Amino acid sequence: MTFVLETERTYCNRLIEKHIPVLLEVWNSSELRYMTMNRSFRDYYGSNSHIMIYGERDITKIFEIWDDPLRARGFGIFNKETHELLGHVAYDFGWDPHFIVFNLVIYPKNRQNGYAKEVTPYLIGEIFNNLLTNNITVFIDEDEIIAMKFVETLGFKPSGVIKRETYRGGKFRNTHCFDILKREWRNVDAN
Amino acid sequence: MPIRGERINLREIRKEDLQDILDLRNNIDGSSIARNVPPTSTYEEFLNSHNKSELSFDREYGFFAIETNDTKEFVGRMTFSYMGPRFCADIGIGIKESFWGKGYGHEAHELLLKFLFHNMGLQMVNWRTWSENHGSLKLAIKSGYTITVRSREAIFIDGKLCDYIGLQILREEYYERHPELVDNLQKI
Repeated sequence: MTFVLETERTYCNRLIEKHIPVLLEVWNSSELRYMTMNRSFRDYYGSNSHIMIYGERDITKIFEIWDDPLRARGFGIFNKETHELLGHVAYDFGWDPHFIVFNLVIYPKNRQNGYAKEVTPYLIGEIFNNLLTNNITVFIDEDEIIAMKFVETLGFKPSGVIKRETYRGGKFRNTHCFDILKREWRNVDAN
Repeated sequence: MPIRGERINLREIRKEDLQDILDLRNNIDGSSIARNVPPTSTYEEFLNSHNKSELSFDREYGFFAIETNDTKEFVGRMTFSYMGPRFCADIGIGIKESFWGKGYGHEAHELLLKFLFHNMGLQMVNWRTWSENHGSLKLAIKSGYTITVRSREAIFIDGKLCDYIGLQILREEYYERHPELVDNLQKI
């Protein structure tokens, strides 16, 4: 079986009701507490910082937004062999289809396996090659230094810092923004 | 009781405002929505939406008419949205062309900022615009916002790709600009 979006070890597919228990377990894990994973279901600004523990209803609402063809899309990232859910990717184009806010999260137990390095450039290439997008922007929590360095290796440039985007762990947290333009994107093989 | 200013009030939307709001919406030059929606909204659509609105204690969203104090003339509309409870909100504003350049936008903005910071206790307020919207940028900077994000060539408006501009004003920045007000919220 082949998938529309697939890499050597992974494929993307829609997330459906049966994935909710896994998502609840992962999204509520302490390791993801500071991730800017909420980006994919809020518009450019705004946050769900008041949600401490995700519930089934929260995830159902996110699925609805990820199903809205005029606003956003979200998929699960799965292991090709085991079909295990490795993470998710979502992109929001609610303001203008030339402008995509891109969000990719590999869940904690699947990290350090190179999945983000494998999937991110592939999906960014797919977006630039198949959508009208001119600017892809990513948001990264201030403590995610490795993620910031990683997107810079892909050619993203710093585009600003949203101050105090959330309040967690007794302090306000800033979100760092990076963007890349279509003409700056090298072809996917070069990454 | 409306939010009262020197020359203007911010008050609830009334049925008699709908034609003015519709005109704002359908004015491409004045549209603050900036999503390139076609200027084809109708009075009936606004009326339907108005008639459907119900009494609510939801504080996530606010929609105000701006009117002059003396003549009760409709000046524009103002919104806040995407409110994280007691945390942050986005502001939107639209002013009738005949009132442009007279400081009404700034005054309305100051009234809403005071409401959001001093009455609602927000930590910050966000403003979103694009690089060629000079009036919007000028108003935001005048009101104390600073540019925090610039996403290049992201929004297609008026024949070209413009930069998306995100601006913010933090709670303490607002109070620094308003020494007449005391911030009684404990610093976080």
